[in-house]
Amino acid sequence: MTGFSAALRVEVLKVRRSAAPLLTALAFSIAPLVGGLFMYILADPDRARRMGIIGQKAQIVGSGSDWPAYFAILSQAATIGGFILFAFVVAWVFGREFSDGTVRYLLALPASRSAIIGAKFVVVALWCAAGMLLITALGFAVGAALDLPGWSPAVAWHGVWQMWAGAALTLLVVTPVALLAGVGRGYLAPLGFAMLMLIMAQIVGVTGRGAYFPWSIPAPFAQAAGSAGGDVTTIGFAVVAVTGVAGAAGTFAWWLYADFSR
Amino acid sequence: MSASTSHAIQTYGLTRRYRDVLAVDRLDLCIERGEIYGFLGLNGAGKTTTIRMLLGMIHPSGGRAALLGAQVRRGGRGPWDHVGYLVESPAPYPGLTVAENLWAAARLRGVDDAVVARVVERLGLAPYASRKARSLSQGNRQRLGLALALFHEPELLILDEPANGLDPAGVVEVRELLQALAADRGVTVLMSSHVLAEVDRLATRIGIIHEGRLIEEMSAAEMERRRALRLVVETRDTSAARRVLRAAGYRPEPGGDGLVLRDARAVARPDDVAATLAAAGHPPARLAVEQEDLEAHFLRLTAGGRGAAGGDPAPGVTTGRAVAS
Repeated sequence: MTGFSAALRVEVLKVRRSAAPLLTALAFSIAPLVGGLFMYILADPDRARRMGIIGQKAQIVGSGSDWPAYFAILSQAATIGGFILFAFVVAWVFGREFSDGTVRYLLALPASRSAIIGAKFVVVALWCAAGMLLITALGFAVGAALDLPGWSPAVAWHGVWQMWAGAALTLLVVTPVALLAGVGRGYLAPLGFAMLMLIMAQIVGVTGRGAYFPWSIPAPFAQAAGSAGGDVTTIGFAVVAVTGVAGAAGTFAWWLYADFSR
Repeated sequence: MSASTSHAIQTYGLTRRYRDVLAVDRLDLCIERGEIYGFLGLNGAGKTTTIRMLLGMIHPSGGRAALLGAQVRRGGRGPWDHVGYLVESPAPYPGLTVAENLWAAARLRGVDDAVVARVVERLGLAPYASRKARSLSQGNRQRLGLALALFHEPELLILDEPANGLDPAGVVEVRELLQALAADRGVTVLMSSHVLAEVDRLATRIGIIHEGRLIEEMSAAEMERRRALRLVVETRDTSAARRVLRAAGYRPEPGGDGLVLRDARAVARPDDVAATLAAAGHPPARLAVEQEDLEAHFLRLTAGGRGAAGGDPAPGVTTGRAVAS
């Protein structure tokens, strides 16, 4: 991994100088804020009825107005919404090199391509972790501001663990998006792939085969409402792990052996 | 780098095929260290594909390449510490400033910032150091592209259209810079260009690629010889004029619509030729000292591909019609 630390510094600079982190921060903020709104609505049944469609949606998503219900909403957000945001981050980090034409500066360097791709994956992980920290911190702040009932250290620990473990599983299943950014040479193919997998995850989940379809697994793990997947089995974890490794390995291999004719 | 070879670039039957299209066909290049090699070809001739293969960006379908004595392998470690390149148009990171683009490149090459500062000064980029790359003019973007190729003081420079987008002063600056690098530090330069006059002034050797094949190579000396001046004479009676000139000791050859004289004294004193013909009753209808330039030569060589030579010559370019090939 010659040049890994140099490549990491360069990747961090590219992210810092972009508006994308701010945009994703705003997107990550939506979950705790909307979740908080649902908790506020559900706290009063009359209020939920008066709010019309929003109230109905809040009743569908939230099982009640307390800390466990709020953490359940945040966990769903970390997996389903997180998948879209993580895929966007991956598409930006990998695909932008092609759409901006800057990839040519990464190919004939003393720093190896493996080091550069490794640095990109680390930046993706750090970026997504920062998003999760934002969700977590904002979630605690919103929950405290609403004075939600049902708080205990055990509930908080369980909620945070579920949220972060769901996000970790989600992060693993977005690695193929990085491969698609290379194969598709830009943003479109990876984001299209991510949307397709999100839809497929719903369909496969409904058919009862979600435990074997990598993109159906994180949401049931986070106890997403409406998911038919149930608890994640050992096979499910293995499927997610294999998908993550295969996506990452495929990305490394593609960058090492593909033709860069554009 | 490797001291085992005097060649900066060597290719052996380098070939690249895209399905039915043979982009590069058994290319054998041998470029000595310290040379400035002009790589010419029409659009789609295979220049950029060759350059990308040299840089390990494209895997050859056949053959191989070595830079500075090291084999080029796709994705593998090459002699990249010692190679600078500009492929097609420069594409710096648009959200980074000029200084940040160079800083990033310096990190990836393990080069001190002081070296970067020198090249910023040398290429006149200092006033734009804190400007984002996306807001640079085309000329300054090109300068940044060149700075990214040059800052680490490479032994070999591979430049695709280095003068693209530069104003006339910038073209001269870059020419002088490349000449100085070759002369003072023995840097080898492979440059492709459509600005043939620039290649003509700069290159110590020229290779012309057409439809994927290297159809001609010539040194600067050979180029100079081919560019030899000649006197073109047109009269109403070409046969009679030829006899008169022969009798006067000249060696006229038929060419174009009249005669071509390559004798040094004819080129040096065309007025004597005119007087000789006028005295014999065959005054010249046209008398001109002409020189085939690189562009005319290039267009004639590549005429089969695009019909380019059949068109009008570029402004200021002598037509090749009177040139013996």
